[in-house]
Amino acid sequence: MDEINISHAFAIRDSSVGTVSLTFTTLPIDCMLKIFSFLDRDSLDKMELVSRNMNEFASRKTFQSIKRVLKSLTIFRDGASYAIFVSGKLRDYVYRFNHAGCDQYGGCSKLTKLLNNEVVLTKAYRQCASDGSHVLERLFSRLAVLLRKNVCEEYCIREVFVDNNFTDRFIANFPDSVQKFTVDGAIFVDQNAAAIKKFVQWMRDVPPKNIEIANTEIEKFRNFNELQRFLFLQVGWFFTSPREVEFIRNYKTLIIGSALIEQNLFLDLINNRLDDDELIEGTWSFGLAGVFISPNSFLFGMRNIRTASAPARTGDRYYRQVSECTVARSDNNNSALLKFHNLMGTDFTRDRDRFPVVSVTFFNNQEFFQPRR
Amino acid sequence: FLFPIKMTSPRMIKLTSNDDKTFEVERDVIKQSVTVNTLITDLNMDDEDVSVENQMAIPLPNVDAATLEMVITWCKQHREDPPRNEEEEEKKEKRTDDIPEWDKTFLDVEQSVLFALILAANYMDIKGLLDNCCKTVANMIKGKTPDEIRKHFNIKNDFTPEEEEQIRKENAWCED
Repeated sequence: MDEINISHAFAIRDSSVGTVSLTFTTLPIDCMLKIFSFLDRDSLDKMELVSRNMNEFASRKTFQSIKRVLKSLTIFRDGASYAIFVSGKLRDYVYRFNHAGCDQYGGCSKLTKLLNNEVVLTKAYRQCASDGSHVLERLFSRLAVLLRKNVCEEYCIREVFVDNNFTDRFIANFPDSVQKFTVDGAIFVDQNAAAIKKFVQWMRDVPPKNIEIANTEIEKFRNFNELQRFLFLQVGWFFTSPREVEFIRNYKTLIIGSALIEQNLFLDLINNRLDDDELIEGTWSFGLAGVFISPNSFLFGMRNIRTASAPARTGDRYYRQVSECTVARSDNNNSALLKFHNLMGTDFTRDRDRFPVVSVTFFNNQEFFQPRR
Repeated sequence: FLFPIKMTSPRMIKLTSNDDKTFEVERDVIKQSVTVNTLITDLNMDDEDVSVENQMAIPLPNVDAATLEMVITWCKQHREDPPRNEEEEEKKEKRTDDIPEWDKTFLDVEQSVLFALILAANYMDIKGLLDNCCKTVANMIKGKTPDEIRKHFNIKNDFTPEEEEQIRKENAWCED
């Protein structure tokens, strides 16, 4: 192996003629780009602050794929406004977008604590439904800047109104692929059903490994015909074929705000799940949560079914109810939705722990979508 | 029957720096330079009938002698390296903590020398050397504040305070 003779190299260099003193900033563009390609996001951000020239390099589109990995990003309602909560590896940030037009940012432990608590929908919260789109505009422009440099392990929207305004901006700015996505406490406003269709299409086009939809309201059902069918088809998922059962099986965790599954498919689903060799115990949650049926009828509840596998030993398939259904308010006893809910409630709570899955009964689609009188 | 074994000395290639110093280097060593390798092939310099004395020297007008000597030293050290698959290299995670120890020592030089090596490696198209030089510079940047970076590379801050504040605000989630 040759020895390094750097001193000799220097000696020759010193005697060389016309050597120009090289500096970092005099390197050609392709060399600079090569160096920058080895920087992480934190360093690129620092380089943006060094000088205009360095800023120009660090801000290039080429380096937008170099991102910082954050733990989670949540868009949520903060009083009468919106906020973005970012949980980083070292610290948390909350960006608040106020009506006054002044964005605030900085670490905030108080709101972190708030986010860890259950979300309570208040009257004041609902009254914010029609707030100005300028807040959303600022929120999503900030989000775009944020996502240009960061990628999150988990994304969540909480207590937001999913309308056209929100959906268009959401789809334009959200990353194409997400590892985990949660919709919690969102209200799907059906003033323009296209918004919901687009939103759910986004989720279906980019199916995350783990997707969770919980505590989600569908507001203002105008009628019980095609629109409602569409909403349930799109928002709550409406499973009518074995192919769609396969769709469910693709998810390790799938929590659906509301679901309608034909009885035989539901049984297939549980049996398939139990046949999974790798499954020791799995949880699928079917929730009927915060659904407005009419202005004077409101259902609120959550259904969890836990499948416990012991098929090889006994040949029996069991499921176990984990939580109770709750009717918050129900003024319309003729509602098909209420029937559906009550049926789940009576059948599932008859035996508090274990009973064979063959006793599960679901309404079929016809009954479920009967026109309101 | 015994056949006489023909002992062949390694084929040599002549390179001339921009300050007219000529270096003889083994063909196998300099093949790491795509630029030189292409020239050798295009000029039929692999012809065994031409002795090194009669061979034309390849001019390298963008590389001075000191730098060329370092480049040759690096190439000698890495002559046994497996050929690079550029597609695979592109897909790889861009790490800077995988510079071989020998290269770390070799590249522990003044900034101007390091930058001259970068220029030479870029011109001579020696991917491995260029990567390790650039990684070394990247490591100089990592972990430093903007002010420390300016000082290290002697860069003037030409931002107005307002511009600087605006960028700081946008990078507010930067986890320093």
